[in-house]
Amino acid sequence: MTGAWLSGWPRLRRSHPELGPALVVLGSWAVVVALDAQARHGGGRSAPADCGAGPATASLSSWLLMTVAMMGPAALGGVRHTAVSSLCWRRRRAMAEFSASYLAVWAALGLVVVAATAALPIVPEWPALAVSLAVAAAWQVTPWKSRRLRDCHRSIPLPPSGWRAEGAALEFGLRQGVACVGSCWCLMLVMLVIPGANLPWTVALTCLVTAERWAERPRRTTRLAAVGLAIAAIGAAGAAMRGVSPFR
Amino acid sequence: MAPFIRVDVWSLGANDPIITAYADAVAAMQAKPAADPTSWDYQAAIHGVFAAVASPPYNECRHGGWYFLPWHRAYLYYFERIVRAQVIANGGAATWAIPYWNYDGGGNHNELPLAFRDPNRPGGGPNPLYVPNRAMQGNAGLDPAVTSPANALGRPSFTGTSEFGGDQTPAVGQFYTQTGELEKTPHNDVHDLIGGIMSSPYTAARDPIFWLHHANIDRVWWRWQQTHANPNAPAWQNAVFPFVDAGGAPVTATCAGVEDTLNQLNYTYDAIAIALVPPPLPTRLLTVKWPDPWPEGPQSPRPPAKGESVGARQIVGATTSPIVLVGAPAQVTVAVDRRALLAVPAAERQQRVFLDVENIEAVRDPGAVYGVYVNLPEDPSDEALATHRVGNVSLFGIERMRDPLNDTPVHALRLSMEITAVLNRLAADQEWTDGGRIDVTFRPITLRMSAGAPTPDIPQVTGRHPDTPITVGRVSLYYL
Repeated sequence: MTGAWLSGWPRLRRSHPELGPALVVLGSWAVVVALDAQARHGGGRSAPADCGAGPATASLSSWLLMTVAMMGPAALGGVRHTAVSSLCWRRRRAMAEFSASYLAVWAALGLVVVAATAALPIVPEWPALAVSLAVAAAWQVTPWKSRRLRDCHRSIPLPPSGWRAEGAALEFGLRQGVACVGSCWCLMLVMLVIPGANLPWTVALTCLVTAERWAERPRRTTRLAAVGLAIAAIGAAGAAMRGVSPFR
Repeated sequence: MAPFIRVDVWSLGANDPIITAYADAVAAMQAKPAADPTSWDYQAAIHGVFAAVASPPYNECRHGGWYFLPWHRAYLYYFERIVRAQVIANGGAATWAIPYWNYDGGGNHNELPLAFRDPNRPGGGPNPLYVPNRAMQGNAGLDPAVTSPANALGRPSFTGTSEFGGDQTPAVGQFYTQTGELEKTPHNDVHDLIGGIMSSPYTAARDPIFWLHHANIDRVWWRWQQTHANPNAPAWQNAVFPFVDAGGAPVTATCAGVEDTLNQLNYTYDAIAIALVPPPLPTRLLTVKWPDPWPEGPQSPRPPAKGESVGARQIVGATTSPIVLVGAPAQVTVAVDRRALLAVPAAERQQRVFLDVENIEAVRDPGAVYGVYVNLPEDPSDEALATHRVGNVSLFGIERMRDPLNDTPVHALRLSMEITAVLNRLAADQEWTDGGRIDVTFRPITLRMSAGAPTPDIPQVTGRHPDTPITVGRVSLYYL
């Protein structure tokens, strides 16, 4: 049984070259879950914003970890397109190039966030959460959001080999990264101000990002998400008005 | 009740009662307010319209995938019922059925049927079957390269981008890029070359010739079905689409509900034969050795045995730079990558080669069709053009792939064509001796002018943009 599965692995890899990167995404989730468990039981801090115990600062490593975990499932479409459009002997390199430039875009945003939170540490109170959720809900229904989400589905020609191939894989990852940041930046900012243990929020927002990317009707999905975010914003605002704080 | 029989429009005289009844019904429907579901405007809007109409369904057409054929069959069926009701109301025959335009019927059948050419009816008054801005006017005829369904009819399977009916797509959304062979040729090509409002899916159904064109497409599917199977996947069988019936009432149709034209929809086609499958390969083509580095063996496609899993096709070569097509021939060379080719395990090979034209971009549909040829010699004869052609590129609907009007993701236009048989023949005839490269030529396929005198007083062709550049991002070879 195991032998048959192993003998089928090369064929599976040829049919689904994105399996390797998918395992990386899965691994990032294992780390996220482990960090969350550590934060809950050991008094440590959870990624990305260390927002379980008062004023928080983000770190670039935790930011990138959350990017891989949360954006990875949505980015696998671009990874797969890059792989199946590349000659078999340079597939891994092409996927690596795509992923590197895709993550570089998020890392650039992460650097800004790290600098900003270092200068002005986020105080994860309900008002901040309510505002960030409201901003995210509003962003969902703007035409800019729709355009960036559409850009997530666009591809560019990928030459087969040589420097043009390397450049095109990098450019494709860059374009996909820009589209993804443009579509999802506000959801990641929500993650910065989420109070307490953030695993449920991480899961929920990842499901949202993934659903938007893979939805047959993306506009409907985006608007439904906007409604959900708006309701959450109202709930957070209500908690703020009652003077409830999650940190006492 | 006896089945309704759709007949070839070219078997009818210009003033045959079937045609005059159609013209009268079209005029009556055009006179109805657009909000009336049985009006001409409303019926056309079900296929496509730029502005929202009074009530759904509108912008419902399905293109670029496996719902194309069943959706248009149901659309045509309900349209035919509406027209028939109008024909009866006008005092016409209760047996009326939409004729089809078999532009591949030989002779001058590739020309626009006579009744659709003249701005005025024989007895005076405007001709409702005439549309002024068609590119195809007078004696202009369609090239056999765009009218022949032979390539589609030769495909063994319904499902797949280079198969008969197109590959799987979601049921929602109008335009995908999993286009099947019949949808490509003749369907898309004929739309583009007729031109005018026929070259946009958002206006096409306003041209009365649209319905005869689609009756012919439906006829080819009807013929193919006699020896082939439609998809049995529940996603295809159970997909539901809204339409409007003769009385204006909303109705729905499923793919499974329109498979059998005779027993489910009570119509059939006249007895004009369609050659179904190409003749068997001559013996000399069964044992051809392809040039190095292609693997040896009888180079005919080896369909998978029952129960055998099929590996994914693998890319073995591609162009490095985009090319731009602006109404003139253009050639690219695809280098075959030996390492990638030999990496396909022998046990998984089916000896099939596909040529994909990828990332096709244009700001609008130029209304042009390009033939795609493999290893085409310089100054090719008509015979060489016919034997080296592997498919066509036309851009029907490209505007909406880039920028959908409804809630659906964008898609980059990509056309896939299997070139195994052509490569095999070229290898046998020593016209493909360097296996390390394949030259791909794009040549515009234009309307052909017949020897007869052009119809007088034909307005100037407008509404086409033949010089609109088309960018082909990449041409690729895939091996399976």
